Amino acid sequence: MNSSYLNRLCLILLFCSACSPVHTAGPKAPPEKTPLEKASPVSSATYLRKASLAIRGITPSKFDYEGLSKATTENRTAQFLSGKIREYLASDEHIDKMEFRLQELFELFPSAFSFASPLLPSIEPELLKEFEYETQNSLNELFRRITARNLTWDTLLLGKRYSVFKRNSPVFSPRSDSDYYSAVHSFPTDKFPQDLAFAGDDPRVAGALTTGRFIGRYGNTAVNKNRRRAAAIFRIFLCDDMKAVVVSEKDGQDGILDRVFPDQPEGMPGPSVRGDQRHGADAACFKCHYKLDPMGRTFQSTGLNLSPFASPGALVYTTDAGRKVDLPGRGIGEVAQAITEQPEYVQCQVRRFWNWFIGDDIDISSSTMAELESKFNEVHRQPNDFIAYLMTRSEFGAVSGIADPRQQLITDVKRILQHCNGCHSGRKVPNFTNWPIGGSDSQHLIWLDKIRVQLGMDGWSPRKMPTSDSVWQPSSDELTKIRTWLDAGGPQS
Amino acid sequence: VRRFFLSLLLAIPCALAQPTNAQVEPATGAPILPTVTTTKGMPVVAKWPDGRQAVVRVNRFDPISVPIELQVTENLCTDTASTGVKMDIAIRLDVLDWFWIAHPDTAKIGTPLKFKRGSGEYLSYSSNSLEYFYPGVSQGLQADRMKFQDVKWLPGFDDGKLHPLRIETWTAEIMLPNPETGLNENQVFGGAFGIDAAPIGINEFSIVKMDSVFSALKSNPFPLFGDVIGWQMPQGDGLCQIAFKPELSGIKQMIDAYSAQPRTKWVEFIWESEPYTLVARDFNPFFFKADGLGNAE
Repeated sequence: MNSSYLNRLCLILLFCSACSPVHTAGPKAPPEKTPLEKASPVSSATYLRKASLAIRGITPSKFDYEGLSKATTENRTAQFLSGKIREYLASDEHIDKMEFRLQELFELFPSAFSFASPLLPSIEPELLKEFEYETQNSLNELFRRITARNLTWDTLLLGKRYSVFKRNSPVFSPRSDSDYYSAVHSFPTDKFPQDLAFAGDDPRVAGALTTGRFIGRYGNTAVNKNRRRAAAIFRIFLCDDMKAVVVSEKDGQDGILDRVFPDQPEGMPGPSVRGDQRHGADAACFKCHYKLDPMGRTFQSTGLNLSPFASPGALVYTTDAGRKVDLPGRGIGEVAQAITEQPEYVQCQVRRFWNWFIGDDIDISSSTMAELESKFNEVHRQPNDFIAYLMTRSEFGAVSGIADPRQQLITDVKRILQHCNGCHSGRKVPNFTNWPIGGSDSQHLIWLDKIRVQLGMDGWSPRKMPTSDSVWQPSSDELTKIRTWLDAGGPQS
Repeated sequence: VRRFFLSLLLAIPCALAQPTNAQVEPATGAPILPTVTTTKGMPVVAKWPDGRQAVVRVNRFDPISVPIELQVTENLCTDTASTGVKMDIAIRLDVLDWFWIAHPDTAKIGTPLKFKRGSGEYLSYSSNSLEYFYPGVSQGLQADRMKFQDVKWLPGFDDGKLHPLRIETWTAEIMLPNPETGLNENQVFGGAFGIDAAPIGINEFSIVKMDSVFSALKSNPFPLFGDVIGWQMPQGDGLCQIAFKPELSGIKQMIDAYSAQPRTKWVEFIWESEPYTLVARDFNPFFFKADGLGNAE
């Protein structure tokens, strides 16, 4: 046995131990516990089914169950299950499912393969080409590549390599990648897809954010000034879901209109009015604009195409703990880099994976969140490794539907109050999901009373929140849950 | 729902969009299809099995200048009262059509082919902006011009001197369905990066260069114009924005009148010797679709 062989063996052992925390080797090892045996009431077969559905979106095959049965009799269930999870994570179905999840996260139209159904036999070839583009474009290719190659999750923001596709529509092709990148790159041939790579420090380029599909999905106007794109970035990467204000003149909301178009003649914005600055400076609007405007400026030079030059901007926000983040960048590439360096980004992405693979009905305690963040960084933010880790947690094996009603109420209320954070943030109003609200138990009780009054639940006040111009309005079921929680004294755990 | 949405997308009601030639659908039964030959340096010829032949001819109109006035709706660059800008955009129309050169009815020789559903004419508009997509199409067109009452409201022009004008990004918006959501929304439809204009007189500029042009509809001769126009101009280390509303109400009538002029200058259309061959290539399915000629008379 030469040293090269030994080195390889060591590497293999290291790799195996790194990618499969539940794996232990050796025939003389004591009987192992499967991940769910550690804390879960479900059987190995149920665990396998749950893992397969979570990772691939389909149930295990007959052979998988037979293999599990055989492994169980041979007392190597844990090895079998961890091997299956690795197999599932390497499957095309997993890549498809993650692509679907990301499309949903980015609020994109579902991709083509969902239409390739026997239920739609008469689909026209020309129409099918339109559908094909929804998978064959640089954004979807990036989604798939991240999963397929287990690239760091930060690639969504920091990626500088693209597969460029051409959409063969002679009439209307706003999202064709070959057009989108045409101002910064000359494609040598008309044969697509073609690879396109930018320098690692190119400030113009930021992974998913500088793809034709993202730019097309979040269109811009002279009035909007790229705030829609900025809001999408805050929602997707920092879990800061700012709600748009819908202005209706019928509802007598002239005050909001005046903030948007101050000092202008009725019905038409007048000339030479620096309305944007006044609007952005208005206290009510400032809650979102102080974050959106600096981020939006990084897209200022974008049209339908990626601009040849970067546009400076900044990542600006205030954390729940009051920490001020103000990080300028020469372009969206540098601002995206700054996002990946924030703890709020890590927490947001960890929570995203948790919701996808554990379930958003299972709350994350602060200590669990700390563990998850640590593990996310430990696996270099590589999605498949982090998913494999989540599968080893006891929460994954938990059977849903039998949660403690009190715990369920707390989880539900927290989720409902998350909507309030979309508009309320800053020094005067604390984060409603960071309990105790206001930072102490006494403040928590004060804020419970305020919430009760604002929601018209004190017996005599009219409901004031959310305001009628808010996109989100709570359902009667959601209001009932909040009332029940308030009546119970606002339990935190 | 998706099909309905796509049909809407393909039927964009854009007054500025270039009309395509009326295309004849094949009649029921088997139309007699010609063979269309396109050879570099030669006329485009269609030959039917029964001996009939037709060629493509082109009527090249003299260019005209289309005046478009832009009113400022928002100026985030300076506080100076904005007076807007008048633009003169040069365009030229080339009409292409099929003509019989061999037919058993000799009276038809030299006349355009007739189709059951309208004219077979293909209207090809050229403009300076289209030069980016179809090199050569702007030959013979004068440069597009911008005339200001005063320029003090432009960033960097408060010194009262005339110097080159730079617009980093020019965007044009119209209301369109978003392909991802199906919702109608204002969105960028066309524009350009790196527009350089040189002073040619008092408060008057000539556009001398555009680094690149982008357009959702590449045949549109006015990719810089829509319901709303935005300029991103250099100011300090960054950019500032000026938004405009263009006055387009008279443009359609003007172009309709221009394109309705008598066709008196038909010449043979020589394949790949004229820049507009490129346009024809892009629209090959519409213009040279052989089965459309199957029922021609």
